[in-house]
Amino acid sequence: MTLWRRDIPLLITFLTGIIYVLNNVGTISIGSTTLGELVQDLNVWVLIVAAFAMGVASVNLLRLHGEKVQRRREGWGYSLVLIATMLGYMLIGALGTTYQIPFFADLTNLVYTNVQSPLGATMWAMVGFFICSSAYRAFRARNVEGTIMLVAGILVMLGNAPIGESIWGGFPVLSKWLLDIPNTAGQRAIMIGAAIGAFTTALRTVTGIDRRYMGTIE
Amino acid sequence: MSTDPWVWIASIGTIGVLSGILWKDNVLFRTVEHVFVGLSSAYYVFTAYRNLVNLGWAPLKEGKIILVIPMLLGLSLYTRFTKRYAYLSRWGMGFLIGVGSGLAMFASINAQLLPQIRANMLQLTSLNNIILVLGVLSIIVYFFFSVEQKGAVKHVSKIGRYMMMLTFGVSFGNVVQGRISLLLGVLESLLGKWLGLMS
Repeated sequence: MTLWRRDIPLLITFLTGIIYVLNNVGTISIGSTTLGELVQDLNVWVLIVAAFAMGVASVNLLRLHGEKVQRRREGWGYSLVLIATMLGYMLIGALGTTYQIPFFADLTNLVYTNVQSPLGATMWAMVGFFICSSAYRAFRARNVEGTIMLVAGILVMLGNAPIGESIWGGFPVLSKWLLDIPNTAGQRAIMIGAAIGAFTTALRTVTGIDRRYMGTIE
Repeated sequence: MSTDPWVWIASIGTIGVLSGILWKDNVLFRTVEHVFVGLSSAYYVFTAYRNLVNLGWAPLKEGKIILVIPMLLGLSLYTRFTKRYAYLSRWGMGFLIGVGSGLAMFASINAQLLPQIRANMLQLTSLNNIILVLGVLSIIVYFFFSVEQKGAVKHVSKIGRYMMMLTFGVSFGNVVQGRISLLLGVLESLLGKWLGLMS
């Protein structure tokens, strides 16, 4: 059973990973097929498997909220709203795009433009409030590090907002310098560190040292 | 004031989201929140379904039998919902992880690491270049845990920490301003399109 449970998934990960790596090394052929052509096919395969994965996520969501409604747990009404909205929108979308019924096609667009899109924008804008409230706690000038962050943040905001330039003409210049020089140095170092981390993690995964993606299913 | 029912729906939804922050957790906020999650999930599921039909099912029906393999790998993910065959979901997951890792291995080196190192190979002829080179090196020293952080290493890593704080401050300023401009767009829509208070 170890073969089915452990070895085959490890082999699949290794083979697919190594094909993508070798494809970038040079032009390699397997019989009449080049590795580049194989990778092009695999890119389509990924989209297909990822589409199934999206289905798994939605089934999970429906199961979770369905159970909440079934057992009348606290807030089950909201779960019912979620399920109804999800299934309803999927049905409208299917009737509009797959079966090309004009009324449902228009309705899909209207719901997207007038409900999903403005709600998404407001949700994103709302995160600004959370950032400000957490910044209030983190940015208090209690030590040198906090003070540096606070001053840099304020200078950038003053440099970008029109009010900053009316207070002092040097704010936009200073803000641009902060963005171009110290910020670039910081971002560059962080990217170098992240790249080394990503490479190491990917190498560990492809070679089967890191198997956390297999979960704890036994 | 607008007479378009869709503008009213959009505005009430927007107010619902804002009410959760400006006031407190309330029925309207939670309803709108769940509607948003439901709609977004449906949208992504539907996009995935179209991908599946266009890239998988339609070519398969035309005779591209090889596509049975990704279909089976995809279906294997659903065995997660059974106890007995749950291990089969590792096959599909292994494929996705393998592709991701393979891509990441090359991309992290070729698109991230080497270009950044190359860009930092600067002549130390100006203050800006000196800050860039020393800034990057000091931050890397801060994350270098193989040597004990004492003496000169400690001082350099301290400079690295200050550089990072500066970067975080700058990023914070940018993010906050981005979100505020998004909020202004939302308020403009409420005051202009809905209430007609703005031209």
